[in-house]
Amino acid sequence: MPYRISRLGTVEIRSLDLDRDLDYYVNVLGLQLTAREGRTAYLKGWDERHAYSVMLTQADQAGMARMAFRTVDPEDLDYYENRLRKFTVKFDVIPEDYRRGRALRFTAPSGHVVELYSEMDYTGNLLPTVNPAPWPEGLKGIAPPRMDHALVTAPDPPKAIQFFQEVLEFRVSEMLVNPEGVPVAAWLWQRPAPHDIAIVPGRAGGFHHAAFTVDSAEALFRAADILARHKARIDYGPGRHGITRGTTIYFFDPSGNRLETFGGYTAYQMDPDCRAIKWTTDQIGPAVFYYSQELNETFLSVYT
Amino acid sequence: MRSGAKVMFGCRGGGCGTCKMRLISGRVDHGRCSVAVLPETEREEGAFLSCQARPLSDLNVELTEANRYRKLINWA
Repeated sequence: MPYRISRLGTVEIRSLDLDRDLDYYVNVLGLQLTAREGRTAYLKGWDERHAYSVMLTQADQAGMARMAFRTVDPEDLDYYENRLRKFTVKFDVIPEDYRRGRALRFTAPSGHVVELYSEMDYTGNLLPTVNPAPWPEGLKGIAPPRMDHALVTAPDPPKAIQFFQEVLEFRVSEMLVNPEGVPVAAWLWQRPAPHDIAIVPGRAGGFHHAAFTVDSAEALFRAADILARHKARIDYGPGRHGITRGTTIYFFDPSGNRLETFGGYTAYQMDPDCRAIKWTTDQIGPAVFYYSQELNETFLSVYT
Repeated sequence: MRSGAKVMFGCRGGGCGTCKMRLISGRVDHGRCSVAVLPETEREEGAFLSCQARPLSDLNVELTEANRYRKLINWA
């Protein structure tokens, strides 16, 4: 089966103070500001080719307003439209959004607004397409090349996991199973990487974090230096996840949304015939935080 | 604080609500907080987020269940 979703395309993150938070996203996290229209700022990593990946929107609460997955081809959007009908999932067709084409919008059983789209303006990355250098000069802050994945919470994880598997055809790369064999958390992929989206137990519609790629151990530690220099609240790390093998720093934006720098350079690559890795819930410590081997106080309780 | 009592906090941005406390007496400037975790009705009843609020007088406060001790979600 070919994969039909190329990546987690966009997330819309709510900000309690857009001016303050935009300064943080541009100068500390180091995303590229591509536009600001009214209450929303549009940003992306320097190596992302489409118009934006992060929407930062002024709101009276923190959290994630919606997430959108980009399909590989426009035909895949039609494919999913049929699939949503087949599984009698209620959805709206959104004719267009800022620099983006038609999208299907629905609410997943986890309570999250999810969109599927295919077309977004191709504006290129910060490098020329002819004889490019490996990275652009003049980057600010952590400057991750791209957004990687999101982790969300669900009151009934098995139901949410099943939805992403059956309806949207994500596959499970890794899962946490309880003694009865029920998956209580799962990491799901279509792009050949450990995960595009992950689900853990918690409130409906909860936003645990959005992750941004860092390319090396050096970049990970440099990210920690930058966060500490700017007195950002670091939640955990630098460290490593047992699940995905990725290296990590969890930290919070000024409105309290958790973000991650994810060192996918230590993770593995999925192949179509990869089978799910199981972690047992009694080993949740090393599964989530491999070095400390125990959960911290905030992982399962603090999110927006 | 001097007594060594531990106060749980989470995001330190007014977004997650982990550090919520209750005011017994005194006045605070609430700062910028998510209405999802600190609705107006709770504010009127004395709740505030200790990561955002600035005291405007001496305060007498009590902890809430959330910041007294965080129970992990049961994974079973």
